[in-house]
Amino acid sequence: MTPIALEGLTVRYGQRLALDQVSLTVPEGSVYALLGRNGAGKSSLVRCLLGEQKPSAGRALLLGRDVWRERAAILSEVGVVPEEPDAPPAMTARQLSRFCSRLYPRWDAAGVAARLQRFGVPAETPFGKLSKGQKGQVLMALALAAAPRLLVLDDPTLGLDAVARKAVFEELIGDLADRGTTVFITTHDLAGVERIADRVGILREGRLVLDEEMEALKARFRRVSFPRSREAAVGRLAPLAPVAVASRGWEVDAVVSRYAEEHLPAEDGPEVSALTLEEIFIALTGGMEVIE
Amino acid sequence: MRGFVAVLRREVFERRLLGLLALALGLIAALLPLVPGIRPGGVTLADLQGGLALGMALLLTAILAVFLGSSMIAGDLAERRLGFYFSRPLPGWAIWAGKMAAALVLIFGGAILVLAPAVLVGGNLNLEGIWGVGNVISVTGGSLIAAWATFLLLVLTAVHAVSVIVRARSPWALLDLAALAVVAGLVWGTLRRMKLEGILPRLTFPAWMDRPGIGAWMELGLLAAILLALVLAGALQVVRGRTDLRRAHRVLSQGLWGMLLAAVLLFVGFTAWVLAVGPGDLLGFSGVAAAPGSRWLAFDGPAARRPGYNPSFLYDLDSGRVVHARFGLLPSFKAFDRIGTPTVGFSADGRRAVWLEYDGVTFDSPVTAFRMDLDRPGSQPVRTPISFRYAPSGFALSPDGRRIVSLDDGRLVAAARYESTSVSPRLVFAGPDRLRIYEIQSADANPFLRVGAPSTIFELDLTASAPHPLKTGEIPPMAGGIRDWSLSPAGDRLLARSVDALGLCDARTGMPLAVLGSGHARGTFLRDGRIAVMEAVRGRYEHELRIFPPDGHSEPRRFPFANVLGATVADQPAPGVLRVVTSRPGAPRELWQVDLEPGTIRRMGTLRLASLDLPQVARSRVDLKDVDGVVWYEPWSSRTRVVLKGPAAPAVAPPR
Repeated sequence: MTPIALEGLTVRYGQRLALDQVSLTVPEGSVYALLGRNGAGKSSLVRCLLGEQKPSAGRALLLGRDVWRERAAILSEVGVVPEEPDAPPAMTARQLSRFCSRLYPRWDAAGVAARLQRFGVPAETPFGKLSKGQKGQVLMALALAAAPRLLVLDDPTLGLDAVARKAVFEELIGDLADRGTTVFITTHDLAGVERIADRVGILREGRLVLDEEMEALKARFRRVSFPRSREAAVGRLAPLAPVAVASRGWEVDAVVSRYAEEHLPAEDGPEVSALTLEEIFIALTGGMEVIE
Repeated sequence: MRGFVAVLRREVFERRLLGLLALALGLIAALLPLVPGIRPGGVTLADLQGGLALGMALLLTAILAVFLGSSMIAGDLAERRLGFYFSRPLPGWAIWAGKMAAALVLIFGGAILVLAPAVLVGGNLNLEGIWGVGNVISVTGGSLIAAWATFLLLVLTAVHAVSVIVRARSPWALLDLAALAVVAGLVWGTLRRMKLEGILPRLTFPAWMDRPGIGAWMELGLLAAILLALVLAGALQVVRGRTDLRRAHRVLSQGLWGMLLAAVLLFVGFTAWVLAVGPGDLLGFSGVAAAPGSRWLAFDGPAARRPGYNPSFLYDLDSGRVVHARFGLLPSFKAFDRIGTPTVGFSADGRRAVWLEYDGVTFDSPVTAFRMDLDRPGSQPVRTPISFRYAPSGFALSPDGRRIVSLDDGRLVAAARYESTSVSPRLVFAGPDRLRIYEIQSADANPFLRVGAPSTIFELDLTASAPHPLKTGEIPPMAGGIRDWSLSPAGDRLLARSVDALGLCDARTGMPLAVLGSGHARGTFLRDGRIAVMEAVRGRYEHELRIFPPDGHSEPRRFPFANVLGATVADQPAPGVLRVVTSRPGAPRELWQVDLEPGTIRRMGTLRLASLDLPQVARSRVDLKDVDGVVWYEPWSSRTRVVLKGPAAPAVAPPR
């Protein structure tokens, strides 16, 4: 059963189109990273994914069921870490764990306590008095305690320092290794997610402009630099499907999306280098000037 | 259910400090009166403790309803904390119901905690002397508590709705305002119509609970519908709107106004049905009067399937035309004429009717006179410029139907200052320009009257430049006060009945002329001035009709009616001819014709008549109400006809 399937998901806010017929599937056991700039539509997509918002058109299926119609039943097998820590501020982590234990068929209270201890989060401090990183860690611990088949993480590292971000991803990696949980994550921490994601989707202005396996993505994207000949670069780049081209004087820098060695023999002179996920993301979401 | 309980427990637990606050208030209420110098003189310790606790409980519950209504869901929505619940396996209804239930637990638990210390130390939860009701716990079976609880639920849900609307800050708020205006306008207009028609009594709780009429039930139904709409719309908002505040607002508004509009339209429609009542819908008559010389009737009475509604009508027997007027609402006139003459004045020629109607919805509203020309086909009631600040306590129409006099605020409208000494002074034209005022000491007006007081009579010359009421005489006191009385057609004599006598008096001086019977006798003036008195024969299953000469002095002629339990002079169709209706248990009523000159009694047949108080003045024609409808007794032909269809009657066209 496909953990996540979005079918033509469309969200409108009045005249504004926040999501434009987004369709994607997330295979079981995979880690799917959804990337996008602020306002790209990630939050709307996650709200639809969790059944908090009804799409204007299309539908979101979680674990094979329509989440708008069967939200409560589906969420017993889904762990959620929201973008904004939304737990009641007066409740301590222990009280939150006790509350959640009444709602889920399986609940690992000891696991919550162990994780909190690992994170160094005090279990008896009211949620409202924890730091932002600690709040995220508490919610992560709660999300994992129900042994979910699917984990939805909405920018879980937002506002966290480097150490806290690392802790979150390490916890995820550990859990994934243990159970093979399917993970859907939206994040701006591209370096962090690059290590764990199997598949990547990129949203731009509400449209899914990329949805691909991480390995394939990184294999076909390259940075190609032509140090001297601008005219020659334009002619050579066409079969490589450039997504972004920047020119500085005589030098031309391009990110290409269909890199193949045979199109650029080594004696021809251009420098070719691999790209990080972050560089691919920037190229695809408008970080470079594109020239014709 | 597990989710509902979890939410309920969590919400209550989060606000558990409110319980401590309530308990602290309760302790203050119980202990503060013990401080020397605190307690006012004349107030017992128990009363002060109970009163303080009650006051604090009322205040606390009202504040909590507002606070929790505005914060529990709307606050979470605005602060984006409702997602915590929605990202768990919790159904939307469980979130809504759990939170609302928690609010109610906190409100009513808070009230109990406030009251508990005072009750434990012997505080008196007694409202007597404050609202005129007894112990707060026992009064009307706890309905006072139910009413307060309903009010709090209304506040809680209404504040929730308002809070969502305000916090959303969306253009939908304008539609909310428009919908509110429409709903409020429809409700206000309909309630006003109901008030004007007398369907809605003044809300005197708990008297309202004792005998609720259809208006009270309609009010209750509307209130229940509003409450239901608020609860369901709130639930719908959480279930369908979820964590998006603007969407939640939209869903709330659509649900709330959709349901409210439907409920209000139903209310308006039902009110229209209630008010669309005709004479055929009457169960009986509170009062009947006939215009002299024409076939117009004025009557009012309780309507079928509309308990508490007493519509009033003018009805033309010739054409079957019905005019719905509101003359039946002036209580002071009702109290005056216990036999139930409608508060309509007819001119002497029967061509004009004048009556008074309330302008507003309360009994202290201004009153306006309406007139209608009865002899003109198609004429409609006309609002006259004559109005009164309050319902006048006396009213009369001049014989030509062009002038009315009334007592308003103790002042004769024409000019003279006049202080009434009774509850229901009655004004009578004693001639074209002379007004007579009867200050009758009525037994109805003063139920505690034992020995009785004299009833005074005044006259006023309306042609004088400065009219001044002059006392012309007084009717001597009668035991227990005067139960009913009537004037002769010429206005020169009056019959007054008390508990022990039926007396004949001079109408101007009040001087007693004769005693015509006991307090059980019923007297009526005949057209020629003679007096017919019907009285049960003591110790026998028999009635006797006595015909006295106008002065009441000579020995009367007697007409026995054997084997009857009741007998009434119903009509005088022609000079020297009377119609009498008699009754026996388990048998239909019977109609008799009495020819006074030959002295014969002839049985005319049976009548299937409902119980009815017949007018005392025999020259009035009578319409009677049966289960079949309105039955008209035709004096000239001695026939009865169903002139308006009743619930079980065959369709019969009105006679022409």
